[in-house]
Amino acid sequence: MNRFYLKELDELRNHFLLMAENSIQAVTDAIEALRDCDVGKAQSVREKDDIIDQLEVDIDAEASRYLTLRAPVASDVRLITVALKTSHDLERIGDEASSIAKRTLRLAENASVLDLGSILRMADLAVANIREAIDSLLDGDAERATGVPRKDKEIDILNRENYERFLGKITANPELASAYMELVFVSKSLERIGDHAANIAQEIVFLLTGRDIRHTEVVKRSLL
Amino acid sequence: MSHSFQTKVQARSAAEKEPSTQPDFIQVRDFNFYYDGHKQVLFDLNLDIPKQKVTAFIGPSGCGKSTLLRNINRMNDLIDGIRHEGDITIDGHSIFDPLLEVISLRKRIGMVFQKSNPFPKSIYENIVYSLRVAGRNRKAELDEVVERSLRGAALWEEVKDRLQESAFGLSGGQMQRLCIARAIANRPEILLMDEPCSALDPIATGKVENLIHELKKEFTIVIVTHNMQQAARVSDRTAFFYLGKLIEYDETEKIFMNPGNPQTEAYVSGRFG
Repeated sequence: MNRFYLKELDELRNHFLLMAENSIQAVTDAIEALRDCDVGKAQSVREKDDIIDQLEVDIDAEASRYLTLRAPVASDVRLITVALKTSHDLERIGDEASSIAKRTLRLAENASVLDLGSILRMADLAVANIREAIDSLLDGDAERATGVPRKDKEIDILNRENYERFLGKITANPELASAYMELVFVSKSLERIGDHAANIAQEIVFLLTGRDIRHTEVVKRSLL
Repeated sequence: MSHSFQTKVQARSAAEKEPSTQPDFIQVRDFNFYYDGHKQVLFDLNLDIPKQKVTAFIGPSGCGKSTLLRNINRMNDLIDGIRHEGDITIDGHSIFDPLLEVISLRKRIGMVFQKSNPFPKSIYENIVYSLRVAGRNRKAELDEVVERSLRGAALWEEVKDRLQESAFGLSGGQMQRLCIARAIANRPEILLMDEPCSALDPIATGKVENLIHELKKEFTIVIVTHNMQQAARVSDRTAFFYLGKLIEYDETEKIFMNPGNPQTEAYVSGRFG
């Protein structure tokens, strides 16, 4: 017997997946706009952030309503709490993508002559990590999500390398100082996106298994 | 993710959030009710119950919710010394109109009680009892009513091969659904349910709640329940009563997520008494 209101959980899950897809697309588009000096695409990323924001509001409302009216337990209540927490991470990913797009608009004149360092590699890794977390949910495979925090380590290392690299560029080319400072912030945004992907992955492990791996040896070992 | 999927999801959500456009079907106006001529138990009640929705009455014992429910089909007429002031109308017509025959009123209203009360007859005869009393004995019609009613009560598949067996052989949950089938056999417009799940286990309760969700497509349902989670799950609107007064009446989501009255807040959050 399926209770008549369980379809509301499917709706919530669909909204979460939709929000994840929108967030991944925002990061992808923001980095392509930076790489291709595409002002139109950067502007589009800024405009579409409203969709991600609205999905967070919708998910919050749906989750609160379900908690109040349906008294969920077990995996159902885990889905609700995970949706509430990860939708905030996804909203922040959207904000970081929007921030990258904003800096791309500022860089428009200079972008083609700048050395982007490891920014494209960082973006690939960050997007792959979000995708890995979401796919682990779709496949019901918690092991895949468990590995995401370890992969985030590489993004952190690349961010530090970028910082050193861009500081060197500023010293060598003072006339490009403000442009490279924008890239420092772009790199930082990607590092934050990686952190959000790791958060989402840990929450999905909790959703799938009931184990809370945050701040545990499982995660610490994976960072070694 | 395709744009069409996104649009579909957003459109569906918007449609579900549309306010009800169903007209108010049952109207309670300035209603006071007394036992023994002077002992007042309901005080100045005013509420509108929409058609083809589930309306839940909640409140602590003795708050008057069952008394009001039993006034809607004038069951309290059977008690000596009762009297009322004000009016209750169904589809604009007073149920207290002196020209109205109580039997005709009750034909429009099915009633389901806390304890399932099948007649000591077969499953089949339980369903067709009221038709036989009305002189309707044509087998083809009775067969049609039995199947329609049992399907409507989500019981047909479980009992279709033993319709002539005693109703007492059914489980508690099946008996309660049989009583619902009996209540809808005469195609009433309204179903009144007084604690319909309080004697059932969680699985049987789930089946009855699913059934209530289905039945509202056809019937206007009023349910009295002590189980607040049940009210939250199955109803569209909720009325909270206390000491015979209507404290708050609103969309169920509003009552349970953001009630406007501190007494309602205390009751639904378990801080009452």
